[in-house]
Amino acid sequence: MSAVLEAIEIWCKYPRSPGPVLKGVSLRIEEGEFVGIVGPNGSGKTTLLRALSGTLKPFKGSVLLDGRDIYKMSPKEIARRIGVVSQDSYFSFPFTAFEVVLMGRSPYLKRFEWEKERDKEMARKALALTDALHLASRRIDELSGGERQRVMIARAIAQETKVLLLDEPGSSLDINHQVELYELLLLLNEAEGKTVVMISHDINMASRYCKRIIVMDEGRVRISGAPDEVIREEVLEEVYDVDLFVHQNPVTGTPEITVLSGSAPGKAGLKGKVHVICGGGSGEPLIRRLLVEGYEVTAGVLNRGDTDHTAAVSLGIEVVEELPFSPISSKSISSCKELIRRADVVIVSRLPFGWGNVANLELAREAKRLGKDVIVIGGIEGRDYTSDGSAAAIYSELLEMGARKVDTIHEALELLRKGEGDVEEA
Amino acid sequence: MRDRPKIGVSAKILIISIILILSFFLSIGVGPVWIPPREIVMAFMGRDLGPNGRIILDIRLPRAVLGLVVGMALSSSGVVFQGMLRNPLADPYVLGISSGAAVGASIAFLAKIGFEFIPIFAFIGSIATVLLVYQMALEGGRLITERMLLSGIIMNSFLSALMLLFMSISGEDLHQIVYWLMGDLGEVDRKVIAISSAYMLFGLLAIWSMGRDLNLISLGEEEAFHLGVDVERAKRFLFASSSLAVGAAVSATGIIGFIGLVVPHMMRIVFGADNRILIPASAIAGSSLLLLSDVASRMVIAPAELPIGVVTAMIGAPFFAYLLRRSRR
Repeated sequence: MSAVLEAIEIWCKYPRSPGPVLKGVSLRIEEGEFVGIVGPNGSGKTTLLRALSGTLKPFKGSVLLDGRDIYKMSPKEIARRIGVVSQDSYFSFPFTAFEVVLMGRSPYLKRFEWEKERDKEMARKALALTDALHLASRRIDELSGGERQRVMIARAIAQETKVLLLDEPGSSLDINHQVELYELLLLLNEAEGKTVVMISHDINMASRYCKRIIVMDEGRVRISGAPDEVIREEVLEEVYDVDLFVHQNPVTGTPEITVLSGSAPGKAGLKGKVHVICGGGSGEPLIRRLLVEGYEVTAGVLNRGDTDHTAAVSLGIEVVEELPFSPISSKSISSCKELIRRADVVIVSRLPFGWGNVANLELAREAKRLGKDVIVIGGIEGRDYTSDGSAAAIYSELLEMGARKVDTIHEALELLRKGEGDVEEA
Repeated sequence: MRDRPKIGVSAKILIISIILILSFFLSIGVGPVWIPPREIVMAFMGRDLGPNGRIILDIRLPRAVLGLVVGMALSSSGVVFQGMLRNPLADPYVLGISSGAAVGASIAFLAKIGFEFIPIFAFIGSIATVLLVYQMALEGGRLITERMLLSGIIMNSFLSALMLLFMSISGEDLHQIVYWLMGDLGEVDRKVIAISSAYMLFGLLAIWSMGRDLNLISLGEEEAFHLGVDVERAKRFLFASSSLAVGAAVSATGIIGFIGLVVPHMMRIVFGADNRILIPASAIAGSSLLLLSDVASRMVIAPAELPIGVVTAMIGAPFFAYLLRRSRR
């Protein structure tokens, strides 16, 4: 295999940028590869693409196209080998979509030569491939963002280059056109052997279609490899500074990420530990908010199959679980007490209580006895399904003992924030 | 699919060409003495027509030729500046060429160097201004489009102030120079017509040869590069050739406004945005509009003449207002 595009230790900066944007990036792109570049904003993805396309000359290092220094090649020579689809194109003049696609043929025309019937045929074919043939005679400045994107991709196809560089080609497309676009790129890659390099914000799409993924971080290549080597929690959590987890997409079998909260797990839990007593879906929004705000969250006791149980498991928090539809066993109670002991605060969500789960309310009382801060959301009215009012009795006992009552999740979080100091002292 | 058929374009070009020929004959025919087209053709064929022949060949033909060429130069460079600066409001004077010429002309006028030297001074003034703007817009060897526009605006206001300063200090009668500034096709020396026309025609052809590059540049410079255009070279070439054409036009006739702004817009509505068609179409239509404006300028307050810039502004400004309303939609 031979490298069609190669960056050797390139350093790039913009005239007015304080420091270099690319800091010694090296990479080889082999003929026929399908490469995705991912990374957070400002990590240098677009700059890398510009350097590779011959637009931004590195102040150190070199870029080779077919083994030759790209910055010593004429624009026409480059344009016959690399087609570029930029992030956003702005049009001030009323060219038709067809005229724009036809411009893709200009690297092959002499100065006074006009496009021939063959060129027009290719433009039409390219428009058909991107499902944009019906837009051919429309003015490009009057198309929607997604329609324009498809026209620009058609132009790159009409340019008949062996390399395609795309900067977030899916960003302004709706999901059906997004999938169609990636399928088209895959087809061009597999059937015509085109080398495709694209920046993508959508890691899951990149993971699904690209054969290799390059993760950029702070102007450097963090890691490069097949999706299952690269899409790993420990890599992405640090690069993106988020809490996420990786699982396998059940349909495509490719690794996929789910973002949990806006700060990396190292920081989570710094604010304190909260145990949530919930059920029936009453706890899910609360747990999410707590995770987003950076608390370490545990939950239970929850029956398997309960909405909140499913949510808690998929959010990856520690849960004490009970068999489906079964009353809470003493074994579960003791393991839940363990979690409560570790927690700083216990929050009881607005869940209904019956004989099966009244033990959860008793656990809250236990927490208060252990000197924990307990917050209950909502009154007990209409939630007590124990035939003799036991739940209501324990509830008032709780308030008696100093548990604080709030009406909404929002208020509970407010209280939590205010109480942070107290919690740590306790 | 409405893939604009070639025959349509040719037909439209034919129509505006016929209008141009009619305007040309009208421009020669109209005056204190009406000369019918038949006599004009006979004079062109070398027949001796006595005094009418003199009027045609010595007085009216040079003026019509100048109008023809200046109209072409102004409107085709209007296309270039709008495309290159990616700004539909740009016109041939946006980079300060007109103010530079005006300062040059004022110097010649106030220093009493002689009226026949005004075109040379105006030309020097315009080219010097353009070179300055070019230098100001250069960054790291690249011509930065936004800076070109800003530098042009700055030069325009600076030079206008400078000219007013000259005038106030000298305390001269300004009637003549103000008339020159408003544009005038009459009383231009034959030699000036010949030389400036040569520059303008050269500029026009150079511009036309860059039609496809201009198409691509008007979509964005990086885009153009990705489609194989040597952007810096193309911009420099377009900048130089259109400045030369406009500089020559302004030096010969003064500042004739609105033609270079309005005609490209009109032609875009008729022909679309492809500069390879738009440039010749604007050249043809610009000539007709200028010749017809010149005819009007001679007729409105005959036997006296209005400055032609007054007429083009009177036609152009309302038309432009109409365009703006239309584009708001």
